[in-house]
Amino acid sequence: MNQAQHLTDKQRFLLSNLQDGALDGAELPQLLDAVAEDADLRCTWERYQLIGQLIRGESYAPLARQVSPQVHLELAIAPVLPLPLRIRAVAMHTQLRFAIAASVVGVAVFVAPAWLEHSASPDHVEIAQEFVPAEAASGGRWHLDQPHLANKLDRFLVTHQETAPIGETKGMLRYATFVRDDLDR
Amino acid sequence: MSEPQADCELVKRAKAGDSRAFDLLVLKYQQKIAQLVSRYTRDSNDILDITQDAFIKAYRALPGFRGESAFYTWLYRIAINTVKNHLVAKGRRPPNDDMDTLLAEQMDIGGRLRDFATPERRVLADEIAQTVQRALDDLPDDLRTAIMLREFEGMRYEEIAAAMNCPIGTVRSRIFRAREAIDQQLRPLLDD
Repeated sequence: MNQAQHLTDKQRFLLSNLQDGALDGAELPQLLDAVAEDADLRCTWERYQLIGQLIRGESYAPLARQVSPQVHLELAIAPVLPLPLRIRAVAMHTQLRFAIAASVVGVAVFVAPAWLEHSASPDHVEIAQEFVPAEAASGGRWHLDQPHLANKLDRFLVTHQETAPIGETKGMLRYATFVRDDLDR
Repeated sequence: MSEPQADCELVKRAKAGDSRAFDLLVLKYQQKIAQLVSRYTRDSNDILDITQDAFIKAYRALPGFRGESAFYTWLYRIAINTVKNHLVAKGRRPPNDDMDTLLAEQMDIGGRLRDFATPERRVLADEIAQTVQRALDDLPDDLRTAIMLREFEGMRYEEIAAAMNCPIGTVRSRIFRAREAIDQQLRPLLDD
């Protein structure tokens, strides 16, 4: 038995396992590649189904075999199947979202208080005096001259990142909008 | 292993946009769906068109399939809706005698629904059925028992291993060898 035949036999064995739901998921992509490249393997899969069907005493309609080539052709020219946005966002960016959320929380909890304290130190009074009144006068929303509001913002940010629905209102822009609208609360 | 579990990996891949996985699902269910459609219309071309359409719709709707029901149950509903829409479009009134979905899944649809084969195809179908039956009868006892427990009784490999008092690896091998032996007889009749 040559190597190619041995490989084909192994793939037929895997098809048999797949039919019974006993194939290791990790082996499936490779098997699908093989079936896509080898029309005989595809036919083997179809015959395996037919064998099961006939063993169970179900009837067989030869005409129905014409369905799969037509569907196959249709899907070959069809556009790539899009996943819904919500699912795609969850599937593709979950880890990224956690990383961003953790970073933002980290900044809010550790860096912001230190920065605020640093800004209020005598060495930086001149800068703060220029910065804070300008923001306050223009109705700026951060109110860094008011520590109780800064703390409130930090709490908002932490709560927001922990509780906002995935894919809808998370992220700094949504948060900024949310905080601006609710600042007076 | 139950059919929902058996389909699980293929459905997962197909949901991710892998049309190769969906192709295997089409090959698996084309007979059942075509015979289901034949319950509503006798025209062979219509049966093929509607069945094909149902699979295409299913592929496009796959992202919305949440796995709360078996894949076949979900596909069955799509096929029923497709055939009813087709009948309405043709100015015909769709019947209201839908078989309950779960009942349909449990029943042998193929054996009970109207057969849409021509006499020639009927002869071929009978010949194929007889060939499979003969090949099954000719199998050694251990192979025949293994594949019957799997295909007819729907038992999982672990259950078959317990029933036959052998390792699971042996069950896998026996079922595969049984399929291969039957396939040897079947292949010449299908012009593959």
